[in-house]
Amino acid sequence: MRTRTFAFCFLAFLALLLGSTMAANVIIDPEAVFDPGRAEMRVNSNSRYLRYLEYREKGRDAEALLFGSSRGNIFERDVVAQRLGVAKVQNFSVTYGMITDHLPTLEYVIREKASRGEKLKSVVLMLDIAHFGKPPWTNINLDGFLAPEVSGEHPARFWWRYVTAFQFRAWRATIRKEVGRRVAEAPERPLRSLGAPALAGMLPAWRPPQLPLAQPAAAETKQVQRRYDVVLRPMVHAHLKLLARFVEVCRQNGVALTVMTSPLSRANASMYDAEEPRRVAHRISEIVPLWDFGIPAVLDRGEFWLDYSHFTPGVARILLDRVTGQPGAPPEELGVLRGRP
Amino acid sequence: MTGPTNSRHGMLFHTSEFIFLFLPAAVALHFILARHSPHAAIVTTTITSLAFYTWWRPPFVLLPVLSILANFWIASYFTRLDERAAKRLLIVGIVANVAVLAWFKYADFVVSIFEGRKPGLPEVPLALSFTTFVQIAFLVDIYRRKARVEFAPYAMFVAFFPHLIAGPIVRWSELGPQIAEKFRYRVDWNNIALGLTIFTLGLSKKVLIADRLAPHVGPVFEAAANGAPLTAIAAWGAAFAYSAQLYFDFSGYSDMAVGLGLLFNLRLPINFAAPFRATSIIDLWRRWHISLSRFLRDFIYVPLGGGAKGAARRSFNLFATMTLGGLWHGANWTFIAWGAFHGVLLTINHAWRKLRGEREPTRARRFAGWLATFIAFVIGMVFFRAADIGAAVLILKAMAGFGGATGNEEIKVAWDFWSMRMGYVSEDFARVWIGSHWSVVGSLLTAGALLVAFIIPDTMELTDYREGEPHSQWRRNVGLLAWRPSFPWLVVLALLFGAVFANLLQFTEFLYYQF
Repeated sequence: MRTRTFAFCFLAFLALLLGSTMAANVIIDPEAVFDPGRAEMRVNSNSRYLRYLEYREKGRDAEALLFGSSRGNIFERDVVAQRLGVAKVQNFSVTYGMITDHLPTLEYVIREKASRGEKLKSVVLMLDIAHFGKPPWTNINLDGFLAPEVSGEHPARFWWRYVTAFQFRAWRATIRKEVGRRVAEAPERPLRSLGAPALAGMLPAWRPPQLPLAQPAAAETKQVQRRYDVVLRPMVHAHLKLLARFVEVCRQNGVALTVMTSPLSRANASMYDAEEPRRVAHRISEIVPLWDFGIPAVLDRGEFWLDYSHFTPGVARILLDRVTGQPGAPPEELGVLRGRP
Repeated sequence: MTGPTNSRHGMLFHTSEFIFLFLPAAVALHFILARHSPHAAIVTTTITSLAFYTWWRPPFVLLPVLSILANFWIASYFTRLDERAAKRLLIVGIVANVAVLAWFKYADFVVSIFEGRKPGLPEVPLALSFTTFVQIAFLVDIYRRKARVEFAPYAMFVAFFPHLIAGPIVRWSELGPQIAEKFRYRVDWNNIALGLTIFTLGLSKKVLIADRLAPHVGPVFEAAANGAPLTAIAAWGAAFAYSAQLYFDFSGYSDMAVGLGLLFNLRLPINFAAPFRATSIIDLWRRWHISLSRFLRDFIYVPLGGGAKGAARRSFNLFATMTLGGLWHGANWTFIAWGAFHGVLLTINHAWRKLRGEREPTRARRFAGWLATFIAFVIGMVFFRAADIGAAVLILKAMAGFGGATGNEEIKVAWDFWSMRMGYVSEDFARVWIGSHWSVVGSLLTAGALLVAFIIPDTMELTDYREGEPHSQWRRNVGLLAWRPSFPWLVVLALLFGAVFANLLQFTEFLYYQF
């Protein structure tokens, strides 16, 4: 082979690899960044970017913000708005959301509102005590990149990453999900209509591809993993610093801040040494008054939980009532206010 | 930006934006403008190189620009001054270069010694350590030869992005004449094919091997920094793993630099010659970071008197040279200890050679020499990687079996979870022997990486690239594996690049950027 042919072939391979990867990313779009309308059908949606878009499109008039992890999605916006006494709340809760997500988002919103002469009134920050100080997803995982306007990253870099990422598993999972959805939505047709009655007896009974059931699988893994899932918080100092900055930004801008922990279910809490999350909560409360819901005995019944990690909307309402001191408030043993107000 | 980000790490050779955007554009611009004149190509490539640097942190580009201007100004005066004045100017130039490096890299370290505190992590401008040595070598070279230098080729020589930030430490005598040769400004498909091959092999070393080891190394050294107990297997495993990681990381980077140079028809010197196959420490330092060894020899060891003034003086010179070489890697006692350790090893090696005479060693002796060299290198790496001397001592104690492990350690890394669940690894074994921070998976990966280093021919052996190598005895006959533009090699490269591409999203940086 001539060296020129060799070099050309290799360069052509590189171009093909890049081109096909770009095409796959744009068409399959596992993170739903190219077509946010397909977020529900995607396996790896970038909730951080989608929340940003949502704010840009219909949340800019919000007077209050709610920050949290996926547990924050359970809160009903109208209820939050009513309890906080504002007209509209924008929910910035994102999957595995941490202070590394919340602080830049808060700063962005304050900046953006200030450019229009508006002000933010109130913020509710719900922290997952079990995850505080653990390595965040922020700007690490493909589904965790903040919008360039929030992170300060150059947009070209943001988009280049999503166009060029080789993410075979995410492509495959997205296609499977899409195929499964279409098969499930398709009207049942008897084999005769395919014009092949003779084949009917010969074909094995066909079933749509089964998606892995996330919930039981995760629960099972956790069950087995328990012994090894040691609470490691390598970034606790960094996260406490970010939290202090979050509090300071709210203070400087006259934003009323409510900080709370999300309650841990008994099943979830059994994976941790009970004292350890309490110590972390205590350290947080040294920075800002904290509504610590810990591992509430009053929520021990299964009806309060959607799964081992997420509580029901009813519980969300009770939590809100507790932190906002609503009349006829929930039992006093639910949650304790740590630190001086 | 608040969250963790890779943006401050710049555009590294193993990022997709470098491979698919910057590099093709830089090479294309170079040769398109070379059609008009070599000068235009030189200026363009200097600018693209500085743009490459700017990607890291724009304001810091002033530093290489000022360094280029100042050193050129000094060099241009050598021909106009008499010998004594020229020598004084040379000394001023060297001191100024070292002073800039010292200011950014060692100021806090020195202050911390007087204040009795731990040194902080200095923010050293990218490439400063390497360009300082390149500039010093340039000044000495021009002073000795009293040669006239044109600005544009000199600026390209310093700024040329393939070697700019992590070497190899090139000499003007190596690269300067090449930049002046007109035929190098025509596209040479032989060099492009070879350059792409060497670049891809280097990229694979970095992404497919070094980066796989990094997550296993970190927890053990972090545990040591926190005073956590370690088993002997964990300590040895992490030391072996880090040795392999550093080798594949840095030699991979050096390969990539050579490959990139070839795309521009410039031949950079090789920096590694299969150092893990060295049979003595002296041999190892002729094969590990060759361009640095060469610099230390020519600019510190020889001026100190080298080996010409007796054994005792040579020992001192070796010790001083290696200690300074250690310090060059970073402002920390660990680097000084690492350099001093190698100074002692080299002294012992020279003494042993003198005792033994110049007899050809037997096969068994060669094996023993290789084993002793490799183990000594691995022990030295503990200092190189540890956060401080205390952590290094803790790991060394653990290597000797005194790491304080209780025999029933809590398992804190999940690498062996799957194999435990499947019954391939017993949990008791892991708790007793492996400990909290190491894993069987880490051990297997390390063993695999070391086997690759020991057995598989090096990039420069496969491709028969020999630029700047001090000797060729290290080379083995690679037979049918020898690179040639052929279909099987095309498939190998495509597979390697495909595997690399699938891993490009995992953000890591080159270890040698911090030195």
